[in-house]
Amino acid sequence: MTPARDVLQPLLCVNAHVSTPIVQADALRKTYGRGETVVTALDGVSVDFAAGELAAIMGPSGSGKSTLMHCVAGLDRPDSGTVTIDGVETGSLDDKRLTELRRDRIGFVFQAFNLLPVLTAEENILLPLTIAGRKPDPEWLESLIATVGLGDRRDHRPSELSGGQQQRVAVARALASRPAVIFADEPTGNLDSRSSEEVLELLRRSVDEFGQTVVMVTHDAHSASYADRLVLLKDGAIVHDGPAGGSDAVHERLRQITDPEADAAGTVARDPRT
Amino acid sequence: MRVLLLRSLRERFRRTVLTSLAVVIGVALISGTLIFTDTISRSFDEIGEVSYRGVAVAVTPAVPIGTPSSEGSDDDRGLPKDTVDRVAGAPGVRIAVGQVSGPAIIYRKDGRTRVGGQGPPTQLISALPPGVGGVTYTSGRGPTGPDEVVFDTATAERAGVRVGDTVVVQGEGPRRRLRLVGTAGLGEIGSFGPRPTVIATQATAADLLGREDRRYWSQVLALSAAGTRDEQVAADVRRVAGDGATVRTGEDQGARQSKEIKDRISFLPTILLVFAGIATFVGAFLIFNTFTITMAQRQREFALLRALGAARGQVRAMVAAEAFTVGLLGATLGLVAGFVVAPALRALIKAFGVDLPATATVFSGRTILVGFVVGMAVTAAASLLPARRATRVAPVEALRDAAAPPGRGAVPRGPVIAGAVIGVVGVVGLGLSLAGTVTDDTGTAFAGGGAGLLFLAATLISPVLVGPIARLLGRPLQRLFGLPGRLAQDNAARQPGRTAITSSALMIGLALVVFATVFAAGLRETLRGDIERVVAAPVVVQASGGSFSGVPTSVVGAVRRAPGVQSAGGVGFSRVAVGGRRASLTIFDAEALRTGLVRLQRTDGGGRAGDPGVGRAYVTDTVADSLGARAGRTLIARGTNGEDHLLRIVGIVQGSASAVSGVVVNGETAAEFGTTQPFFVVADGSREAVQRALSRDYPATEALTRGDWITDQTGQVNQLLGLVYALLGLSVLVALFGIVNTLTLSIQERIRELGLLRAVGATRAQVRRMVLLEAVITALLGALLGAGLGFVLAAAVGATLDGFALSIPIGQIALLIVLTGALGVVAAIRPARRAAKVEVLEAIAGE
Ligand SMILES: Nc1ncnc2c1ncn2[C@@H]1O[C@H](COP(=O)(O)OP(=O)(O)O)[C@@H](O)[C@H]1O
Ligand SMILES: [Mg+2]
Repeated sequence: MTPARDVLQPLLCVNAHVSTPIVQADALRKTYGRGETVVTALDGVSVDFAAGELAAIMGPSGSGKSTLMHCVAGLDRPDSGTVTIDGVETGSLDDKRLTELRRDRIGFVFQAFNLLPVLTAEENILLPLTIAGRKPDPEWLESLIATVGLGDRRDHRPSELSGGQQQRVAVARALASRPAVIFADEPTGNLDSRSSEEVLELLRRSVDEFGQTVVMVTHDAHSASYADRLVLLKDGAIVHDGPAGGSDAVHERLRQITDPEADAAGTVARDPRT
Repeated sequence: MRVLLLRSLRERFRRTVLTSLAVVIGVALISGTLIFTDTISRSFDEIGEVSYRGVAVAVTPAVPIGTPSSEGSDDDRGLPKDTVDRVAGAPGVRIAVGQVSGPAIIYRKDGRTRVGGQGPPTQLISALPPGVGGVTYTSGRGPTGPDEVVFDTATAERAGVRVGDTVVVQGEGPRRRLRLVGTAGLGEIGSFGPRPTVIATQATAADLLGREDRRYWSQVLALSAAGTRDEQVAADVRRVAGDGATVRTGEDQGARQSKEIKDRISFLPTILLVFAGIATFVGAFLIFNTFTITMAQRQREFALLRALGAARGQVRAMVAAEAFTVGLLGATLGLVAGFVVAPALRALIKAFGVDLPATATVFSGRTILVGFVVGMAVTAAASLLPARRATRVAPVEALRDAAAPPGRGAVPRGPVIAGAVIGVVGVVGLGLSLAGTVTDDTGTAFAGGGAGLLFLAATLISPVLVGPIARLLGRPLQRLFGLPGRLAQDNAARQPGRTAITSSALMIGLALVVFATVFAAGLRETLRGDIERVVAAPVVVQASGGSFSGVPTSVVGAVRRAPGVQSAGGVGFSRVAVGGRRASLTIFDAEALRTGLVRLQRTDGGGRAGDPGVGRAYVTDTVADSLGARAGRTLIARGTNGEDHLLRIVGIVQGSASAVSGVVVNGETAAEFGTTQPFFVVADGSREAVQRALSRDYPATEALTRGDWITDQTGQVNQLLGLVYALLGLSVLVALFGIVNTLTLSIQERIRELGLLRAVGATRAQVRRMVLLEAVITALLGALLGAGLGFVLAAAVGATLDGFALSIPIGQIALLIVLTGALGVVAAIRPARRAAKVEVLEAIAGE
């Protein structure tokens, strides 16, 4: 990012905090395959994510959630449409610039395999900073480690951590560089309910305490209930965009957009605590 | 199952090819060597056959019993001039012709630069009448006048002369200017074998070679009358040829000549096969590693098959079939590649000065058989263990989570202990042979086997060293390169076994390179010490460029007449047989010993040794022991001319492998044994004066100061080292393929990690650097272990050699290690590029 922006950012934040979204996606289209087998994964999706918001993207399997997230996060390029992250239009960036944008402005939490097995928990958390060749702010690091509750495990390797602990390290890693936005693709997909809870709590607190922006893809209504906002996708298009509400409300939304035969909604619904 | 096998081979086509490559290189070297040596062998047979085509009987000077006909030269011997008439008089003989031949020197057009100085010595032969022998003139005609001469085609080309040009040839006496009237070759072969050949008329050749009637002809050839059998004619000729002559049919003589030459170069196939074997051995490491890694990666696939009901045997058969395919593919491609390797080997040998003839390429059934057997056997042996391990997988493994590559692998203790035990056995084997407890062929086997076991032991133990060495190397890399350096270090150490085997392949190649380097340095220093001790003369004259062919005898006189020179003497080397046993003959002219130009130390208390006198000799301490010779005793020695002479031993002198060995006589005594030509001439006076005095008549000689000459002599070791480097380079090449293969496979395994790194912002350049640095660590690991092992081996072997001066060429070794690291980078270029290309999506798609 340019030095000019560094100077301008505080001003922008003061003047246009509410109206300037951190992430803007406009008319995204993406198809896979060609001819008979062409699949439209994104069919003209426009969506904005504002600063300090925890948004959940939901939808049946194959509805385009992951594709949307990949396009918005600069991991994939849409066939058409534009994505602007923190004021930078990603379509015009070359690979190196895009990589730097990811490194400095975006955090990621994947469903699995978030950590390098050769590095310790702490080293994994600092990975984006190390890659960038930046020194971590020790206070920030300590508060991160305290927040994810890994004080005594910072020198352990991923193989010595539980699944939940690993995902918490991943969240801390995503937070470490204080990115503009964190994208999380099914961050609790591989976890039991207790570990899920811890990870979701952590994401929630990062929004509440640090003002972090988080976009989370999930197929679990309970997870979505932690969000401020719910975006529902179906067949590559947004069919609902509004406040998330409790898990019952999320549930209801899902039921509405899903055919009774489709099992996606059914499995989503069967959360033990609802 | 067959469908599965074919699919899996096709899916992994590139990897299969890469694995096969190890087999290909090994088999290519082996089959190339066989094709090459078979081809040379056939060519020499043809040369022998063509040379005696139409000749019924060949008469040659008898080879004295006990003298090594294959090592000495025929040039010192000769048949009396009247042999031709006697042979012509035998019944059944139509015509008898004699041929004179001997060593000569030829010069380039400028008359000063020698042609073919490095290779085998040039031969001068007299022309035979048309229809006798196989000489055909490729341009011009044969020599007829006293000043006419013909070169073989290749030599004419090298000398840069054409028919009609004036050329300069030198035999025993001063050089002569002659006119080139043609170029020649043997029949359809076009050359005379590796020796450059000059053809002159009989009178000119005899004059150039200084022949006397008593020892005139090198051979006498007889053509038979119609209706006779060669054997019968040979029997008739034998009756008249005289005592000192051997009579054979032309066919026999041709076969014999070819066999003699082949015997002379018989070490060549052995040496080449040893190097090919080393490359194959290294290749086996590569195959082993590839199979181990791929089997580990396919654990789940095998487990699934087992869960679906495949018997253990079926899985094993599938793996075995894959190995079989790799072996078959590798062996086949290797055999084909052998056709490229054979001429390449010939070119390599040629680059070192020996142009071996190659007529039609010989591809024998034996080559095919050996190629396939070696290729398949090596593959089978290397894949056995991984295959067994693969089939031991339990069906439940299929249900487990996709095993991510381990963060840090443990080193299994069993192989390390086994390695230690094998190492001890290897050291004992090596020790036994070095200590001389077992000798000859068994000793060689013990030494080779011991060294082999030592390599194996180092390989088995090396996983323990991977961690510490990776950390040692990783720390500076981390400081220099940051995260990529840190991750490279961790990645290299995470599967110590894998890294260890990969670097072990390199270790073997490098150990041998370092061994050769250290040994050569030791040899150089030993040689220097030996020569410095013996040669005190301020000036030494040798053939230009340090050729092994010696200088004309008359040079000694020319040097002595040079202004400012008080004394000069020749130094030569030959062989004698004493009681049927061969011994070296070291020759110093009396004057050189008397005046102290050459200093010999007596070990029997006589101080410095002077001139032993005619018919008298010193023996070195080792010969004194083996022959039981003492001062005062008399030996009967037989020279290369076949004559027996008495030698009275007058003392024992200190010997050294390279300067003074065997029996030491003066020049006059040596002449009786048929040796006249000195290798060097030592003199006092000034180098410039000597050089000036020689420049007119002996332009192919050079006068050097003592220091320069010693440097020049010791420098010849380097040339040999160059050849060894070239041959070992192939093993190193195979090892580098190993690095490529291991990295490629590891990257496949770590694709998700790479994707993650990219997702969180690592640039492609950082990922690339990480892989390159991992390769550097692996390569340096091999280099360090190899350098250590090579040094130990060289020191061990050197310790067994008398007076071997072990020296450590630190600069050279350091250079080799750095070079190996650089080669590691080269090997990693492709895998690194592949790793950098990994897309984040591709990597996380596996979820
Ligand atoms: N790499 C790909 N190649 C072909 N089709 C794909 C690919 N990725 C996704 N798709 C298709 O695009 C659609 C949307 O996929 P995705 O975004 O992964 O859905 P979700 O994450 O909501 O399950 C699906 O129909 C899927 O089959
Ligand atoms: Mg998805």
